[in-house]
Amino acid sequence: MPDKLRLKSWQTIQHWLQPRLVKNQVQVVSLDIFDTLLARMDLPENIQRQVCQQLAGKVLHATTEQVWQARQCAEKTLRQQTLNQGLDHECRFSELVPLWIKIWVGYEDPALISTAIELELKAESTALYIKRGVLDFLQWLQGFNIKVLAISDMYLDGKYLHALLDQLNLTEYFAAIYVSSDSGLGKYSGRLFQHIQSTQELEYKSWVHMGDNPHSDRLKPCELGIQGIWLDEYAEQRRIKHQRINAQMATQGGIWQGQHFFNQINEVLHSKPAQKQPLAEYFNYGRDVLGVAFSSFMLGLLERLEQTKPDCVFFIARDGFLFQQMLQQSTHHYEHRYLYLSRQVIAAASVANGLTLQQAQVAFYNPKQQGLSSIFKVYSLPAEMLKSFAQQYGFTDLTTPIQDWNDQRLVDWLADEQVQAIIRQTGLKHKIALHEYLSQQGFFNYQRVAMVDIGWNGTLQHFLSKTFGTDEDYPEVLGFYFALVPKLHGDFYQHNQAEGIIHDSRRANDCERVVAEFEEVFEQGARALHGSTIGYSQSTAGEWLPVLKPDTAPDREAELRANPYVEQLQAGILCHWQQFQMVQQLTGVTSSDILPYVYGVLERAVVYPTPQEVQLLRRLVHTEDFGHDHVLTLAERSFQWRDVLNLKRFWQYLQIEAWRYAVFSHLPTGIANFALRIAYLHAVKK
Amino acid sequence: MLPSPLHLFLAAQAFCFSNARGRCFSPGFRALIKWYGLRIKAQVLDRQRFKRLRLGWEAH
Repeated sequence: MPDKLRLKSWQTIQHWLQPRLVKNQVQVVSLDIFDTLLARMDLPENIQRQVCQQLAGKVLHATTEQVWQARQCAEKTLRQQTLNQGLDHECRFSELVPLWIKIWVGYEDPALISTAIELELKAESTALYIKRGVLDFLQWLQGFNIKVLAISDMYLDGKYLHALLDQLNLTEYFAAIYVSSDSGLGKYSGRLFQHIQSTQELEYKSWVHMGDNPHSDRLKPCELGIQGIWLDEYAEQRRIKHQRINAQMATQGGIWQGQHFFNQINEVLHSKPAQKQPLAEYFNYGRDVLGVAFSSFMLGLLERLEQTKPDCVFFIARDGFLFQQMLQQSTHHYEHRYLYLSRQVIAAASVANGLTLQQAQVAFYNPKQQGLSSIFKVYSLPAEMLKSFAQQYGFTDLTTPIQDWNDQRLVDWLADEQVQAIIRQTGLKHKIALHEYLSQQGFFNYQRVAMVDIGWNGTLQHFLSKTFGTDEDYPEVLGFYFALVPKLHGDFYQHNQAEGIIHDSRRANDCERVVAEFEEVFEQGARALHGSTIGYSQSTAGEWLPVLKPDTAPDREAELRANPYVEQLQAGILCHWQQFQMVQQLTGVTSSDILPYVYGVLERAVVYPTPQEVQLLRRLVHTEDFGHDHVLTLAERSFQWRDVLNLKRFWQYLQIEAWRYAVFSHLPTGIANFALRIAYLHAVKK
Repeated sequence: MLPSPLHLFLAAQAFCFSNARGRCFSPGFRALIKWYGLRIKAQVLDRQRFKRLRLGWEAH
């Protein structure tokens, strides 16, 4: 009998095989399939239960438990029958399904049978992935003139298993695939090896078999004279153990379901070889952090679209760009368009009836506001024409910040009829251009539309409604935002339909607020690479086209430098989204099931970033599309011990810093961030 | 990159020490204990592990 080998990795197997293959001592190599070549992202029982749940949904008043019990009963009966025939304790899926359906509904319903087969195969193909190192090993084996076989103890028929391996592009590596269900003989009795030996006319002594089961893949082949190798991977044992514990904890609710769900996604994502291209760290950040947030948002969005059924979904430039890409990569089909809008062009059109004090104050929300100059920029007003009137009311320097938002000079200036006439005339010109552009995009042709954007104040929806809301053809607008903090526009959102899916300040949940603590990273992760819209122009053919900010503008130049990073972030997010959808379809989780854990992931990323993450995100820049051309640098400085000498100034700095938690990221243990979190939660105005 | 339940539990304590509302990402103390219990049980009372150790020893 050959030595009973126990090897711990693909590399050690390769090392052991190499000299024997070179000396032609080995002619046949066979490999076990499940848990050796392929891994499942969930327990087999959970996958089968999910199929039962989906199947139960197809029949009125059926419960998952009924379907599950029928399956168990059918499987037991068939296994017993095979045993009685003198074969091994095996069962075949193509025989199992008709009996299963018959036990469940009382007769062999052909439609249900084909649905059950389809669901099971889909679930298996979603759950399976190729383990790390396997492809390299198989490719290495291809370099030798030997026969490579795949052998499995499995209930699926050979043809189904072949199809599954085909989907994973693995069939090309094997001369033949053998399954216990086809012959009724298993590896664990050794009879499947005997069956293969007689079919293929193989010699036991030149045959090496390897797999994860010490009994079926090592002991039994060795008893026959085949060199059995037990592949005992510690990481694999650990993975299966944790998967079992996570699945058990997922029934507890709270964060546990999300934890299990995202671990399943991670398992598959990290089984692929690591990215080696430049800027891979941005790809990884997009995949592992932003991907979690944006995929969960998209799931919530799709659930809401399913409920509200809008006629068309409008993704708003520029941050709606990524969400439109994600919708296109999903299995859901909604009519959708990308609208070139910006707060600047809508604000400019919203003053067609004049500028109110409340509207003027919107320009002062920017921490770097420059008084009247900011108002001119935000509403695209002609500074030259309005300058002389401003001087009449005491504004000597137009760029001086206005700290008193009810400044009497401002009130008087706005009350001047000549000023309002100029504003109305300019606003009307912008309103006409915007109306033409929106009409061309079909915005006014629908009864009910959804607007999707990242947030935060819902300014676009507010200004659109203010500008065109009284028009007869203005549709019902449902706003869906990644985060909504509707403080800027009074009680507008009490009367209009808008919801922040990940964060909505009206829900008063402080855990959700974490996305607003570093909103810039989410905006950067979602934005399109083109410049922001500053107006519209009509082509010679009569088509209205967006006019984008020129690449020579100072903020646009900074954006262009950051574009390669944003591209990589988005590639990572889309990679996560692809896997997210597969696991979601397999498990059937909803956005509310996973959100508690998502808030935990975001809390970790925003409040407790690693120094490497801060280093990465520091290279991004944030720009406004509200008429300003400022560039906001992120995580500009770190905490230094001399800051202790002037704590008041340091606290003031922390309050205006876009990512205040990054300031302490270089300090070990995270205690400083924990203390800052407590202090900030105390100080923040709710 | 994914935070562990212990990390989340500790981070959620910041909400406990402040006047913030909502501790939605805390796994809960009892659930955390249960999670550790299952991990220890899986480590200590893992029959498969003993079997693997025995078979590993037999191989030598």
